[in-house]
Amino acid sequence: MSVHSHFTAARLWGALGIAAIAGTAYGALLVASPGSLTVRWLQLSLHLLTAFAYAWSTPLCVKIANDYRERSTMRLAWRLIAASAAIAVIRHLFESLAVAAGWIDTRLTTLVSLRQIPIVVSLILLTAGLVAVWSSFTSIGMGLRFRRADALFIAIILAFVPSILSLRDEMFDRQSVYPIIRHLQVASPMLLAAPALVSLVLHRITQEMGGGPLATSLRCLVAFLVMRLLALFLGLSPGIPVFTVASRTVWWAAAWLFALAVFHRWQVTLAASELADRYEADPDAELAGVTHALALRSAQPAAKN
Amino acid sequence: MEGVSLEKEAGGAIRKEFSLMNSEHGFSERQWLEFLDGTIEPAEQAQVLEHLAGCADCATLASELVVWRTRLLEEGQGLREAFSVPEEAFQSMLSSSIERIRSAEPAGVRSSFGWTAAEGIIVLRFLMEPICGPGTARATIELAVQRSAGEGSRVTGSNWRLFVGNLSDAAAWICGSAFGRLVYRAGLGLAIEEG
Repeated sequence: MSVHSHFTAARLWGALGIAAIAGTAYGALLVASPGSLTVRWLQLSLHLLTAFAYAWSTPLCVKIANDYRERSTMRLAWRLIAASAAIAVIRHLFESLAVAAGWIDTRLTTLVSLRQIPIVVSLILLTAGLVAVWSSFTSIGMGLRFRRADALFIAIILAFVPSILSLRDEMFDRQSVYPIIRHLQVASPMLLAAPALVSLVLHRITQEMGGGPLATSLRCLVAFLVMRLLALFLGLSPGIPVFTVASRTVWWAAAWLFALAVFHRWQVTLAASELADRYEADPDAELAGVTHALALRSAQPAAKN
Repeated sequence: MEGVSLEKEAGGAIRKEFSLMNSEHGFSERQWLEFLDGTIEPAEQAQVLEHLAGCADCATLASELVVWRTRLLEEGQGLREAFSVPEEAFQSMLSSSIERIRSAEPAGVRSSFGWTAAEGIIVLRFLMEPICGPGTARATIELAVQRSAGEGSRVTGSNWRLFVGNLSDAAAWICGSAFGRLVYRAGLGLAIEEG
């Protein structure tokens, strides 16, 4: 039995809750006693927990990609998302090691600042994957309609970029001894804004979809992207303790929304496979079932009337 | 809703009476159906009419069956126009149509039921909705209809296989091959009438 079969949506939500609580505690302790051992332990645990969330998601993303036909845009999309998740695992394992080995205190501007490389690569892959998802939906006529309010959301997301850039001196890796890392750090707000902009389109698609596990999956992805951008913004105001705590809560919980998005998308494949097998085995019984269910649904409005 | 009351009439008391008519009044179910359809042989038609003139029960029942058949024909016509009516009216028509299907056929022989293409589309749509969402189901069906029948044309029995293939492709494009396979299997499992 694989590790994936042990996880249900409820358990993933539970993990999200634990990450949020631990993140809040970490944020609160970071404000109260920044250098304490408890802070380090919490930081290490949260990195490992987040690495687990992405590590759990990565093989599922590959399985989802393999469910699509060769040369399908959606197959490419899920491969890119899988690669993004795999690199996120490397990033969090590296940061775990940095905390455990004490590099976070001694080599922050040198070795530890190299984390910007996986951060940026992961964001680029994620953005490319999301654009490919959008592209797939446009080919069936979805994700092409926008509302006037969307212009406002786009403006809000874009407004984050200069706000975050104005606070760039607060970013740890801005002090890196490597010029390339400093440039990458400056690029990260834009790299977070890009998928957040795509998430707006994905949000519209979920509204067009109307329901089902596929829409739930996209909603989780949207929430994941928005929360990451929000966490970055909140985290750049160290003078406001509430923001510091909130940013840690949101940031550490977000990875589990990604896992939930992958989980719900995988449920689509599982449900479709099971139903397809049943249709192959006994199409008449299944058709009888579906017409019966449709008839029951049609009787419900009549009962209300 | 009309469909529900029709089912009660058609699937309940009338069906029992139909059996009684068969066993007690000397006419087979085929003769009654052909009589209602107007395709019965003239000699047999004369016998039925003669019987109806002298049997109040059968006369009452026959007149009810004529009303029922007329309503179903109207529903069928509505279904043929389903893609040109608003969504709510469409849903309502589909519901009553499925009620008809359910009441008219014993369970277990659904694929061999004389499905119209519109009814087939309804079944596929209902099958797809819980997985990919109503909006995605509608979008993929619209795309498949367009690709299979062209602008202003309809999906019929003659282009049903092409339609199912296109729908399966569109469904697989968005939701994966497993979903495409499901749509393909279910679509080809329906025996769609020509025309």
